[in-house]
Amino acid sequence: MGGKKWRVVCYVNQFYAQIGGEDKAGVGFGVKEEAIGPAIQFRNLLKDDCEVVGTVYCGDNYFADNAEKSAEEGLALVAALKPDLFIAGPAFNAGRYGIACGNMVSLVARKLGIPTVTAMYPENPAVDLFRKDTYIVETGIMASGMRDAAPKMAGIGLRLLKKEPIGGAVAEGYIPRDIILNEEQPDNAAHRAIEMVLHKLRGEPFSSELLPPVFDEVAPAEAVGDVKKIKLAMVTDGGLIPEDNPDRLKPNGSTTWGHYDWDTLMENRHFVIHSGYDGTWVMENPNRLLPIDVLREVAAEGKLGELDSEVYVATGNCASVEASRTKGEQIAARLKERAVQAVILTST
Amino acid sequence: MQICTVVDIAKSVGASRILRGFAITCPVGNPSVDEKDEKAYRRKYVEKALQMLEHPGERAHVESLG
Repeated sequence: MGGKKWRVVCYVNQFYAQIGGEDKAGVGFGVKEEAIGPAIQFRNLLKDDCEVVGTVYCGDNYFADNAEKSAEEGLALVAALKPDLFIAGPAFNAGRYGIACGNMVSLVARKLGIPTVTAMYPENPAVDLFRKDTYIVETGIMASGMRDAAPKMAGIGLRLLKKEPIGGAVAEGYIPRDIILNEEQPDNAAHRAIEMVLHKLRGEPFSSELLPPVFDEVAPAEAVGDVKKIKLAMVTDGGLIPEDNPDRLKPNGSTTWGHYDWDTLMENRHFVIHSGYDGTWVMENPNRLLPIDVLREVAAEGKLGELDSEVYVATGNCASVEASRTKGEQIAARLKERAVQAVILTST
Repeated sequence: MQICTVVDIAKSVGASRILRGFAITCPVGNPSVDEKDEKAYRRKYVEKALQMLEHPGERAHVESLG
């Protein structure tokens, strides 16, 4: 560095800025052109290569009342200090402070294009919102975890500045960002799998190399009451679409969906774009995927209030959970617009 | 409510009214019988599905036809 040190800016709340506790949570932004609170530890840990040029602080209530606007306000103060690295927190299990740290690191990284690091307890509500945007070092629930967290945060920050690689989440102590890293392993997968099984059989600890996706807890929807009085729609992830594919669905990993008038879909050329199952039987008779023939009969008999004339089609082949959630929200919004009260979803 | 054959996937993602379908490639039908019988069979799925909508859901609950 030839004597020149990287500039580090830290973010803390009113408590760590030693302004006060809950009674001072309403104070707005401020800057001290020195290290205060936890920033002192970062100054000491990074002293050979970096200089903490300032600490930006803000009251938790002030920040959380309008997090987006607050983050913009904080960003301006951070940017004025011309940082090379931005460190927020740790926030431990403090919800509002976590939201503040998460918003700050996320916006600073995006707008200033510099490395950022924060730290939280894994169950802090901000973790899920921001874990993909930055490195969130895992801390204990209490502030006494500072001693463990600070060196990990400083280590990751310094290596990001030096453009050195950051290893996997477990080894480095940060919360998984869902980024797949290439790593060379001394043993092949078969050996590692056998080792893992043996550990498991012996009741010894082992760590999985893959983490299953975490699904939401979904509360069952209320019963619809009398189906003779409701409007029903058919939804499928079986990928039956018009031949010209107006919504650009993909055979797998699709991020889009479409809604089609059933009669128009049937009268014109259509096909199964889903590449994860054999669409022959569905093409022979599309009612095998979307039982419109029977539903129309049932409705005509007065045993179903109304059937939506449109069907809602997605492709569920190798779709990511996140993309599926987005599609689900979009489909639900459309169903609500059309006053649909219940859905039958067929999955292939 | 959801009609599918791989019910474990529906269960794992949090579905609460699950009806076991005929096959992955044919959720509501049966290609091995004639058209009329197949439609009658499909009607059973539809009637069961509508009935499930009228009843309280239960997380990961699976029903099968007959």
